[in-house]
Amino acid sequence: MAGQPNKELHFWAFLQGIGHYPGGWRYRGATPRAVLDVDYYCKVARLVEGARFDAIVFGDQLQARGANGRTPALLAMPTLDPLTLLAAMGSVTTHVGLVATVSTTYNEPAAVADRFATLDCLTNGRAGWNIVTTAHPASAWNFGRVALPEKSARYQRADEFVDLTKALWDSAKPAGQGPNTAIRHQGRWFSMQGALATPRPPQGRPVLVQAGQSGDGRDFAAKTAEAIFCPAPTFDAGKAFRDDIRARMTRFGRQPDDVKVMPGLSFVLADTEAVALAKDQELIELSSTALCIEYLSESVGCDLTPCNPEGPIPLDDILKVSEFPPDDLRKMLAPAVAAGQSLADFARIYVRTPRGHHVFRGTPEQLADMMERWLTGGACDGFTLQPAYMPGELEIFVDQVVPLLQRKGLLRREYHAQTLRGHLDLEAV
Amino acid sequence: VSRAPWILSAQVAAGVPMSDPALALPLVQAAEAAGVDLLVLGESVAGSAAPAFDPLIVAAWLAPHARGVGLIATVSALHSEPFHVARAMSALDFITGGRSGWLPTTAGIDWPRYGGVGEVSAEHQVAKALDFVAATESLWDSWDSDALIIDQASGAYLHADRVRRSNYNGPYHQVQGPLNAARPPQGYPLLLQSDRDLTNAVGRSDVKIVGADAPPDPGATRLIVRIGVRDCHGSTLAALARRWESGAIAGLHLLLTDPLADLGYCQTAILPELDRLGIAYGQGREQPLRTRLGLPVPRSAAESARRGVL
Repeated sequence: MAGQPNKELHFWAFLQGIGHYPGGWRYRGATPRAVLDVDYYCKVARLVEGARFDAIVFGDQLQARGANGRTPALLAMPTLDPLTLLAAMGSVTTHVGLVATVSTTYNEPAAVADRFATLDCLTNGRAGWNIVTTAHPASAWNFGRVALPEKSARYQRADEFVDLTKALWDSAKPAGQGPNTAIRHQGRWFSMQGALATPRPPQGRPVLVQAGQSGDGRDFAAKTAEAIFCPAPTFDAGKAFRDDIRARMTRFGRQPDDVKVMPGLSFVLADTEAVALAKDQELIELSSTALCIEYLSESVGCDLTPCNPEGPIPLDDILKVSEFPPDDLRKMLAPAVAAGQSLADFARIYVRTPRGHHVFRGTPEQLADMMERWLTGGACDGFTLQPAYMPGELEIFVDQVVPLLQRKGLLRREYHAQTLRGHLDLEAV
Repeated sequence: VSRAPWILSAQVAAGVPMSDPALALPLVQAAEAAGVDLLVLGESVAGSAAPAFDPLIVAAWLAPHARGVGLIATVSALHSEPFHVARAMSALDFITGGRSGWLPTTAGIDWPRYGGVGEVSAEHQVAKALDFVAATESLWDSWDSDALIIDQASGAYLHADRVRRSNYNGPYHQVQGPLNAARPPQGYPLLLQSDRDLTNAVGRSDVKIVGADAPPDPGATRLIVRIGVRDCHGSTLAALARRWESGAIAGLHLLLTDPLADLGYCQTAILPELDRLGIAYGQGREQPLRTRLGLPVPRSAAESARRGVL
């Protein structure tokens, strides 16, 4: 089933770290020390709410940056706990949604249900849960496990995990109406008996968000998610992904409009396209070769910092050391190895397209036009904005792109709803 | 006799609905007005119920409004993962400007809710709780206090050799690390303990909540005496003030059963009595808790060794 065009764009601000560009923390508009201070989070939360975005979203990992136990010296790593930061941001705002990434592989359903219910209660219905199953092998070692469960097992566990959290939220009573009903569950992954700690959350349940890309991930998203965060490097990729998700939803008996597809979008803005491209170049050059090699090391799960940058890509060594799937590594590296590319050259090119997300470079008018084209063409329902550096580039977007979109009638001038579910036009639970 | 800075602590009982913003916000404001140094969220008495809210989320939500009162989260030492707690507490310590603490507790256990089928012996509970605390601290120790550089001009973000794996291998918890969050500003968030918790006999803490007739405790740096709010006046308070002057105790721990009313009473009745008794309270409220309480900032063993040879 093909995607139907929407009326308005949905915006999420993806705020993990100091921006999307690995070297972005060095840019003059970045404030890399401030991200360790509460005032920064209060300021950014108010900025996003003033621009009438649906939500602030934080990604998350359950392992430190780096490879083989070496932490990068040049990559910014202020990954403070997302739920903690979002709770703080929620107490200085009144409307903007708060979406936290939490793993179903290294948590227990009762604890996760309590945490999101507490956040939803405290923020009058603004919590969202980006459900992840955790893909990094090193995460297992932080939770007393020898190895990450294989992907289909992780998704099976996630299925049961989400069902259990839903049951806990659904069985909770509004405040003052007596204790919550205990649920009993006996399944493959979990057995439990108990009730939600808090009263019924105002949204009934937090908004469920997903970001899976594989077949398992897309099915899980089509079955479970109310919003999807995905990479879409081109219009066609976005449209293909959205159409695929909508078709899968129909197979699961869901209405395709009950999910919002929110591809990641990074951007570098300036008054003319030429200046934007020069600014992009300047941002890219802030990633030194040594930083690029640290970034690549993390992405392949092998510390390449001792290698000769001008030498070949040590594919065999990487395959020996890395815990990542060998086929993925070969697919990623073999063409460059065959072409005789040096480690430094490959790493520098790799850093230019972090994590496969679309990067826009141009003027505010061009960006507004592009967003309109994607929306009306059914390539997305909105965007998960990943500013190149923080907070400067987000401030430019809010000052210069948001008014253009509001004049085009593509972005709300005022919130029409109080809850995240309301912002996403989702039915109450 | 070295008198410790006066501490006023107040504990919000497990049943208080702190997930209600219409209660939580006035409560923290009342705690500020009442000169409370430590606001403890949740209970720490063996056998008491689990809180009707997630204390770490409530503490984080309160953080932008708590510009003087320290926020202390009770944390189940039996149902929690060290990695998650180390990380959440690191973030909380940053966003409170070093005014955070934790109270790991064996209270509020609910085995069936976490998939357990039977009771676990007190001995195992204590062993697991101590293992949990040690594993969590090992994750904070995976970062030295001076690891971050953050120099935009040179591009140096951190000293890679000041961040390392913990490789903690305990009987219940195994955690490799390093933590993906910087060392908390206080080194470790303030560690509280209750003498009514199962870990009482073996634990070590920065601040310990004790009964009125408690003997000195070499494992705790500061003792605070548990007392009902309405009992805190006259000769009872004067006697406690003398014990504080003698260095035997560091302050009081109030149990809030009706939080807003209790904190109002504290502000209007207890604080004036403290004034009459010549006890200086509410000092240095903008400072980190360890600074305010005159407690050292823990360093990792690696950092101590490195600084020792510098």
